Amino acid sequence: MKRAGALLGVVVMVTVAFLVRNVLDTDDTADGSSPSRSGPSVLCPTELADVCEASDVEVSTESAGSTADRLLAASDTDALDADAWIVPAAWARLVIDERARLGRAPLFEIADEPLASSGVVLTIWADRNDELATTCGGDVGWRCLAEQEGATLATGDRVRPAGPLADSAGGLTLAAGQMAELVGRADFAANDFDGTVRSLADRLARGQMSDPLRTMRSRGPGQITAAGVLLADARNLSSTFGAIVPIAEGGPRADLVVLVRRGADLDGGLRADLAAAFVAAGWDPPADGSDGLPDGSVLAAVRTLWNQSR
Amino acid sequence: MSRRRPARIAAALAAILLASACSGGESDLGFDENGNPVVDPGDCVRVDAAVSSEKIELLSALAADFSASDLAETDDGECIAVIVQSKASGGAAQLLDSGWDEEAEGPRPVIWSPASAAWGSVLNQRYETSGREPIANDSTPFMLTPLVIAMPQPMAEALGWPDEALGWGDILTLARSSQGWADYGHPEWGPFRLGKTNPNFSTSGLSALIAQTYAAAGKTAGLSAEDLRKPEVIQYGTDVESAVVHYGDTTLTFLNNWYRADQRGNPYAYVSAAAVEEKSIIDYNTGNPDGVLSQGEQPRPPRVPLVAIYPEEGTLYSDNPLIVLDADWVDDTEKAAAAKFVEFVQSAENQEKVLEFGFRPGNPDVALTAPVSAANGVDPAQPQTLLEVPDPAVTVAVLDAWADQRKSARVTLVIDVSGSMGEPAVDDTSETKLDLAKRAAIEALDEFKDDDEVGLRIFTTDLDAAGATFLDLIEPSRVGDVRENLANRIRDLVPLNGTPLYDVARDTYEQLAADYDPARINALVLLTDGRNDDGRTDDDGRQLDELLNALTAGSEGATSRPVRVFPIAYGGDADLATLRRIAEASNGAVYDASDPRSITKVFTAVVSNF
Repeated sequence: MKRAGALLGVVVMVTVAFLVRNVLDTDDTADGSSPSRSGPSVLCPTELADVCEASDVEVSTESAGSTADRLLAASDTDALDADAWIVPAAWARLVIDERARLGRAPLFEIADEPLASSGVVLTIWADRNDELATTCGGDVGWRCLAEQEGATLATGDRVRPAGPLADSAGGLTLAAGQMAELVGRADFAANDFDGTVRSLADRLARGQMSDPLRTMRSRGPGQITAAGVLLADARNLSSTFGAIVPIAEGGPRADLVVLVRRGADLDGGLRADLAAAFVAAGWDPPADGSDGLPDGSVLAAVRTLWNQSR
Repeated sequence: MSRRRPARIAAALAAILLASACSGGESDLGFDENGNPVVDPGDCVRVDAAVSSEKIELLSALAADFSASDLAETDDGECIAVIVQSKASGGAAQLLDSGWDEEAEGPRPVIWSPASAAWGSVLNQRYETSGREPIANDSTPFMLTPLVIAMPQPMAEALGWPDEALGWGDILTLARSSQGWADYGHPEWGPFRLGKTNPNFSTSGLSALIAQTYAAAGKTAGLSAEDLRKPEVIQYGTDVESAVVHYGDTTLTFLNNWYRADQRGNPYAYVSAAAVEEKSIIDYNTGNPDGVLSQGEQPRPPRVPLVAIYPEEGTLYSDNPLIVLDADWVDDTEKAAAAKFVEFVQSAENQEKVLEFGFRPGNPDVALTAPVSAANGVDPAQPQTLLEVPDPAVTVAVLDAWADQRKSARVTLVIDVSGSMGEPAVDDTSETKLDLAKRAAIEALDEFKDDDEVGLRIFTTDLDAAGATFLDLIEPSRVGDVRENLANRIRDLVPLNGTPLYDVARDTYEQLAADYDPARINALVLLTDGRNDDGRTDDDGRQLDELLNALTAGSEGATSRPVRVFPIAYGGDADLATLRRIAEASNGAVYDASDPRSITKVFTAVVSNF
């Protein structure tokens, strides 16, 4: 009986939402406040622009962090200035949960399944990996790299871990995975960021840069010992890896989600095109189960810490 | 009955805004620089309320509920809008006494809700002393929380808790012992260390001081000025104060530092006990030591819980009164409107809400239930003995006596004189950041007592041909002997070069640690407007790590020689996050003066630690 009542409640809520949305859509059309476009448009993080542009859609680009900042402050989904935002779920969760924590009205929800997924991976020069594995007492991980940051290797160069900018598409997912390793638990929170964790995080965060894997390859092991990247990016460069090996795949996962502006829609065909484009670019089809990320407020705290340490 | 529709809408808008505020965030519709909601009450009768911070969330929600209800209406049919802003109890008392600047502090209140009615007594006494009519007369308790002594459970058990009745006498015994916890079979816990806030600023500090003075006098009522003059009472107070680690304007500093120490695995070395409100123990044990879940925080119960010791000599309640002021800025209509709000919050339905925040309902008809329970380290059957609030004149005399009995300090003021301190403090003034900082520092000198020792160090790059990064203008010296000289040297400061922050912090800390005086509060006040800038960036990370490691190592362990660092992040470019880490590593506290105009207030808060 309770279940039937709940179902009825959901039906009523959906109906009311539909009616309200229709009214609002009508208002938008009537006062001309909605942007007028000839076709669907999407906003993509800068690093994903090429993949987004492979589909028949108008694409604008911006760093994921900048978009998130705009949406955190926005009073309406029109702030998106596109029909949809295609972004790793870490960013969507940050915007949704932080707005809730700050007492701001919800703008979006993640309703549909992701377009594609990518793990994160630690890549390292093979010979440095052999030496560091001995130092670390086993597999090389982010905690050991942070502890060894600045130490001199047998080759004479120093341990320099790197990663993407926290405000980039995959940067926040990677930073969250690194924090989980530093704290020692996947369900970490900002109160776990004690002095030791912050100091170690500093050492990793100082290695933030655009496109760390390409930089690692072009500048050599003297400049970058190891880099964290999205697995999709690593696959793209796999043919040129040479002496760089991917290790320690695991931790959180970047699921690409679509946040849609109120009154807009992305039809199923376009979604399928976008999903196919991402898979062709090295992403995996949507994965099942938890993505291993903490809630958006914790992600916001990770981002704050990372940006303070740059 | 007639109602002006637009006014009702305005009241509802106020409610929405306040509801937004109470959820802990900002509204797109506007907040002032202090985080208080900007509300237009429309044509409603406006009732401004200044309330202490621990109940801003709850009272904002109640004000929103009230303003949107049919009860929010005067006898003449006008709607009522209650607008709440946060004001620390002691600070509000001072503002109400010395003149409330509405431009800087927001509207003068119709309702004042400090944490304790004792603040009303103090304010009334000050009014009477200066020949004015008292204004804090109509007071209704809103919610209650008793002053208790918080202690890690194993330490309390070592004293006999829960079977033995404990109190200020046990605190005194521990404070007087040269063996500290070794007397109780725990030499590994080191000396006894007490956390107590400054009674001129903090309700917990004031209640603890009154309770401790009653205990010294062997009374539970009728504390008198004669009692305060008795040598044994003076000695009692002086000895208890000798165990204090530092003071400060809020118990949250103790609770946050304690919690961090607990998470590192040793909650015993920072403080052994702290005078706090019962509500704070509930917050702490539920994993939210400061009662506020900030960005990314989740409740995490501590490894070692605190327990509440209800002093056997008696204690006081913080009764969070709602005081409708008899002030010349409050008219009869506003008073009547305020009375309706006071009646509203006393209803059983609304009083049940105070339990969610760890308080006891002020309405005795509302049952005392969880979270005020043994599971959270508190005892709803306590306190058994209540103390009489002293006469206002006696309360003021207790505060005056404390000024002599409090633990002396040994402090080095380290002031940034980098080039950026020469920039304008704010756009519309020709005064520089250094000008404002100098004025604030000079005013703060008056807050030190003569027996405190204060030194003055400045820092910037290239102070001499050899590249010195700091200069001692005055070595730590008795303030009574150098107060004028200190003021003159501060007055003469000029902005110079870079900001070798880590270097000077490390050196000053190590010097203070080397000269550590266990009979004093040893501390470093570090005022800076920038980030570390010593001409090299490649070693910044290493410098910071070394500084933090040194501070952490010095503040932990039974035999530590704690030197607290109190950084002031001054101006918008200061590195607040790094300064917070420096403070936390030393179990001190960081102060945010990102608005340079706040520096005088901030300096006062910093010096309240001594």
